[in-house]
Amino acid sequence: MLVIGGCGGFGFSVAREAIRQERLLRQLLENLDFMESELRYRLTPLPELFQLCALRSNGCLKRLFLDMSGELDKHTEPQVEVCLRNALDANPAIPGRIRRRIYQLGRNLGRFNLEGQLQGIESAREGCRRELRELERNRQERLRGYRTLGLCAGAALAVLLF
Amino acid sequence: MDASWQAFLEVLPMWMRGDVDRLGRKDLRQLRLRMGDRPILELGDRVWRLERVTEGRDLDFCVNAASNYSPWSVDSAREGFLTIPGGHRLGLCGQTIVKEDRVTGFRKVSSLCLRVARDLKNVAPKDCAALGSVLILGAPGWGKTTLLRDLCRNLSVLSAVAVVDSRRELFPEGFDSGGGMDILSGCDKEIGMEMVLRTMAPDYIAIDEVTAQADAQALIRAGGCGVRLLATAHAASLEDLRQRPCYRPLLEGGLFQTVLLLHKDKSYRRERMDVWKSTNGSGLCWSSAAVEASGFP
Repeated sequence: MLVIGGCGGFGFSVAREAIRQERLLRQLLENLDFMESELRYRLTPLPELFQLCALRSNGCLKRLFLDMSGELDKHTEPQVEVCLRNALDANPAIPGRIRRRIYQLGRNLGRFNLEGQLQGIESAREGCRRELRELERNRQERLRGYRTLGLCAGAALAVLLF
Repeated sequence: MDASWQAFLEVLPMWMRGDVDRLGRKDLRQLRLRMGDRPILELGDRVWRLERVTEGRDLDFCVNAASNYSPWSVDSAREGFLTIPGGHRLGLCGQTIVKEDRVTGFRKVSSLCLRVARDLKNVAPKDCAALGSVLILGAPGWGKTTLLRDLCRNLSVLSAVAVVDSRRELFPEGFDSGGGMDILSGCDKEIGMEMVLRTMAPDYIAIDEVTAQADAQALIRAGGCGVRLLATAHAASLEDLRQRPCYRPLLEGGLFQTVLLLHKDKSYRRERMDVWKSTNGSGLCWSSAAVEASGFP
């Protein structure tokens, strides 16, 4: 029972992680929309922009935005990309899909050209949409599959062991 | 450590802060950084070069630190400079991005010139209330802004002084603005003067660096409303000033009663301006009376 429960729990946690990644991607997408309008209409400086994003977020994304703002405020790195990388290093709980989009954002922010910044945000947004489409494809079947696989693997292991 | 000097150091790459602080804390005027070259410190009457060569990432660091990683959000970047916290100026040079015949930013920065702002007090004439409208003349780096700042502070004790600080260099954060001063920062001089004239009922309006016809016209309009004016202009002498078309209307209109003429050693001479036209209406002259020499400590 323990083996079945353990493997089943693993399957369920994989499913939960997939749901969490979807939620984080949606949150990031909303924040990218917000960043675009702040940059376009208020020319908000980046440290303040990430602070505002943190206010609109929760959980690990909120912590990440706060760390990003903090890294920029320190004035120790030559480029925004390096500051965002440092913030990501301090937040290991951020999934790989989100990290890729943040790296992509870092390469485009902090330049002289506002249009270039906005295009960079749009690229990051498109990346988020692509990831979400991938996650949403056959979503229910996939999640059910993870849970079932976990339980079946547990049952198989139990049979083998005992 | 003086907060303004600390703010200047924080804009520099980590590796050069110690040397710049040690060598330049008392008398650094300008720091020049050029890609592939050694940094140059202009100190009072001598020049010093650091050992290590400046790289591209050092220039990027300075620009990002000065603009909070947001150079696109700073209007003045299109004019080739950023104002650093503490009132210091960071001049930019490199490959520009031009759109519709206007510079919109920089593709690549290849050199920087950082000018240190120092706040000195008790440099303005003691009887500044009797000077009327004042024009401060001097070449770049001779102390015009420093003198104007102290003049505004002294006058604001008893009068309402409105300052249009378009580049945030006259009274940046951390500089003592005294009491009785209204500061409008970051906006165009012409628009700013109209705004304060209409809304702040000033006895004096102060602007730094009259450079354009529009600035001169705005000064004339303000003077016509009975407000006294405090301004600076790039000119090494009155003769130099007279030859520039931008300033002729100011001189011909008798807008300023006193001129403070700065010299390179930061001393200055004070002259009264009496203006009259020659008989054929084409010339102008001034007389100097009550000439007095003063200077920075």
